[in-house]
Amino acid sequence: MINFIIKRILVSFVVVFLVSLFVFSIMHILPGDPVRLAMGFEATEQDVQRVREQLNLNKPLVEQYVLWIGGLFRGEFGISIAYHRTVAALLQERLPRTINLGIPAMIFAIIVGVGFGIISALWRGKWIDQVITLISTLGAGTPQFWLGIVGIYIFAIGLNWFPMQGYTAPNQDFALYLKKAVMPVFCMAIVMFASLARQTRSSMLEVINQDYIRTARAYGISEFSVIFRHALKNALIPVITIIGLQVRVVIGGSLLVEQVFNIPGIGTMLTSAVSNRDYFVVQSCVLIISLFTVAANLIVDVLYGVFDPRIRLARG
Amino acid sequence: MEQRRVLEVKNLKTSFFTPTGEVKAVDDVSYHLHEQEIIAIVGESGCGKSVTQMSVLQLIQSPPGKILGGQILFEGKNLLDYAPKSQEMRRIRGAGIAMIFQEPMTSLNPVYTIGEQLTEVIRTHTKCSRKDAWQIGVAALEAVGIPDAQERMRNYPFQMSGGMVQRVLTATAIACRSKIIIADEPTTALDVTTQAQVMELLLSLVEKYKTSIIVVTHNLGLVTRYSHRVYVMYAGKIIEAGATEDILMHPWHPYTRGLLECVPNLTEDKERELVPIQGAPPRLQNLPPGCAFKPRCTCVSGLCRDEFPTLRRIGPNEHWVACHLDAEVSQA
Amino acid sequence: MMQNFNAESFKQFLRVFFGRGILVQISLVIILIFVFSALLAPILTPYTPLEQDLTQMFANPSAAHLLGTDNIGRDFFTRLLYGAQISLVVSLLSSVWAGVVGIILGLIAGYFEGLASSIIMRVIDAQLSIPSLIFSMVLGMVIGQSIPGMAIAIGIGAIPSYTRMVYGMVLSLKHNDYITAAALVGQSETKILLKHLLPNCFAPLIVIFTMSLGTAIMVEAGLAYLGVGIAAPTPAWGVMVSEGYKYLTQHPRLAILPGLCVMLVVVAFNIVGDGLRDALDPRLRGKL
Repeated sequence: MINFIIKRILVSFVVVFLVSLFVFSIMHILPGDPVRLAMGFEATEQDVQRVREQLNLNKPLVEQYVLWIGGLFRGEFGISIAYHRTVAALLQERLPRTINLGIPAMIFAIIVGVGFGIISALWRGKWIDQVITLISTLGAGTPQFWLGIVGIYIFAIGLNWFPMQGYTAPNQDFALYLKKAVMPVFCMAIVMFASLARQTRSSMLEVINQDYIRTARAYGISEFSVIFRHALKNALIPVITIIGLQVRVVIGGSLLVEQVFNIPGIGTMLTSAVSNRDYFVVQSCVLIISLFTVAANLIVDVLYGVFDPRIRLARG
Repeated sequence: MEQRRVLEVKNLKTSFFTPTGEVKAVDDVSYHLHEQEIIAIVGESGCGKSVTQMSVLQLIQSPPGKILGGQILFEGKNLLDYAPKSQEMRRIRGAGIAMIFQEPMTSLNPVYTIGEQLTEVIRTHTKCSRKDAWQIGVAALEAVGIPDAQERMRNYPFQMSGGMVQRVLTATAIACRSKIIIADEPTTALDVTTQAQVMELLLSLVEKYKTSIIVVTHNLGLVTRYSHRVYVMYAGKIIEAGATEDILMHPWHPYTRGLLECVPNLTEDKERELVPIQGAPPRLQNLPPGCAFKPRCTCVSGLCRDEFPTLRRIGPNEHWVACHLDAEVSQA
Repeated sequence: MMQNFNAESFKQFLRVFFGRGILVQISLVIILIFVFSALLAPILTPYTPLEQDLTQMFANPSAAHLLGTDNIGRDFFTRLLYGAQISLVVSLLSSVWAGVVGIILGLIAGYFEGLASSIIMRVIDAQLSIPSLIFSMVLGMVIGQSIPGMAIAIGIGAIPSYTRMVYGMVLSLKHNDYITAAALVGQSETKILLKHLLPNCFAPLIVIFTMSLGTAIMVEAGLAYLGVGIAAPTPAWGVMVSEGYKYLTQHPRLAILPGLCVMLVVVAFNIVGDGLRDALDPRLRGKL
């Protein structure tokens, strides 16, 4: 198990390195001069040149890359040309907002998705199963931005239950945070919820037919324990894979959801950075996002070991 | 000498309702088991012998399966009076009647240790602390001859061999003081040396714990050495029953004789040819009237086509057969 | 599958596919409507998608304008039809191009085990660590916010699923006993591999292709909505949602209808993909 984890960590480093190469090279084959673009055409050539030097953009590519990576380790992510602030400061301000919505969305998706999947499997073919299957089929194909807009139309404009848009930090006004978070969290969670419900259902159905479930029943184990102790732990092993895969989907969805609900998080920052050709912001944001998904997948690998002794005790 | 019957199955009927029709997997089956007796239920795969045993514990998956009728008498109660998911039924499973399954490697939960699974079963049936259950478990493992029982309790099933897991299942039955052990093809998945060990173990339980045992198998060779009585099943029905001796020495039904002819035997003359039974077991959907064995039978008469032969007693002993054949023809 | 392709297996396929219930049939109808609206857009409507009529701003649905007009008097129904055209073109182009590149990469990685396969598979891992929406967005920034640009950017995002499938298939075939046996009696291993690869890949490829059509439409709409995909005034569905959102209170249809189109088409492709998977090869369940 230890060897397995070490191997996964090494692979993760390679992955992050490749991602850093990718974003770095992408930003440097961009057509047009990002500094000129950001400063506008009224800026003098000297000013533009001065900013280029400040940003190390006149140095050779390899040196620029090393400077960028070196900066990352010191917590310096470069400067945003559009916001005229350090990327670190921007991240510090915006990352908590995205996390405060993204983590609840994932927790919601996992609990409700797995729960619905179990219900669906236990009442296979009954109306409740059909309803859950329909919801998850629709959920997997619903554009999150559209779902958000429909939600705003119904629950904010029509019923006036929630505010239309915006974000309030939970430590500022928790009640208001909750009110504003309900719809965005739901929209961020929908795709992950849908695929977890489907995966849980099918893997529960598969496990229920296994010999060891028959054995448990044949020895008088209570039905509750058969389902929630014996079947569920086995059924969750493939579900964990899906959780790992879906983390990136939730992060991707946060771009759309933050745009709809006008939430000043990482998503909206990255979107506007891409439209503004804001070099360092795009570079650092994408790298940080890939760090998040890689970390999430490492956690998933550890969880595998927790759930499956065959992996935990395997040699090598 | 009339022995006490610990289990009596009367006219059991179990069917599966599939899109292509009703499958009568168990069709009017009756048998009984005496105290400290080993009986064998023999037949080809798909003849309904396993479904019969699953019906006894009401473990038939429903839908598509359903027990349609009959009685299962155990300790003076008819088990079919209990709902499959009832508390009473659950108490019988494991503590009254325990089952050992065919595929040892898939029969235990891969994500829990032997100890966790064993103690859970023990604590389901006996009020005791976790620690006591653990001790009972260790003792049971030792009783079935597993070395380093303490150590083994902490192992996962995948760390053990098939024969070892088979012993663990047997130990579970002992730990719960099961009156009856049903062993469903207990040796099929094991290699030959382990097969003998498992059977010897079962035999020893009869002495030590006064257990009664039902062995479900397609292997008549296994039966001859260990069981007191034999029931032969074909197409969901019992077609011949009697003491092992009688069945072996004077098999009546052509099917039983066929089964015996394909058992290799080292002691008999080496010239004897092994004769396989022609054809395949019938599909149980929409069986035509008459004897189910007639398409494969070597001595069909007119009667076989129209009328199903009922079980009748032949000879002075408790030897029963469901065949229209006359004595003279059969012995010829 | 392909090896014993005959009338009987085709019938079996149809039985399973349509036996999955009414949803599959509805989905096929939706896809047909989608394709026909895209192909016949110029015939189905007298307007062009960019034609403004400033006397007819925010017109309600009528005989002249089936679904009314938008904020600058463009016929909304016409724009939806042309939106279908854009979705169809982008999704087809991106899926085909992703398929070609993905299959080739998978073949290379599977055939040359060792360095080539580790490089390709690690790069795929790296790509999969970035959400596909963000990946295509960054690429789109470089390639350009045009229809072909978007098709290329979105297509690259779809490469991993093809590569992984083909890679896995080549590896499992390579270590398959009958391939080894054939190689032992002197047949060219490469030839045998290729001969068996196509029939084995046929079913999963069709399924992945169908699914990736839906995904591409979804990503395209998302990028257009964010303003980093196909740009206004092109009538992409995502662009229309984004523009209509400003008038949500008074004219909800402007934002809601185009998004509904995206959902219906994507869900339809997913359902058909699921159905194809179960009908072509049930063993793929849980893998694709």
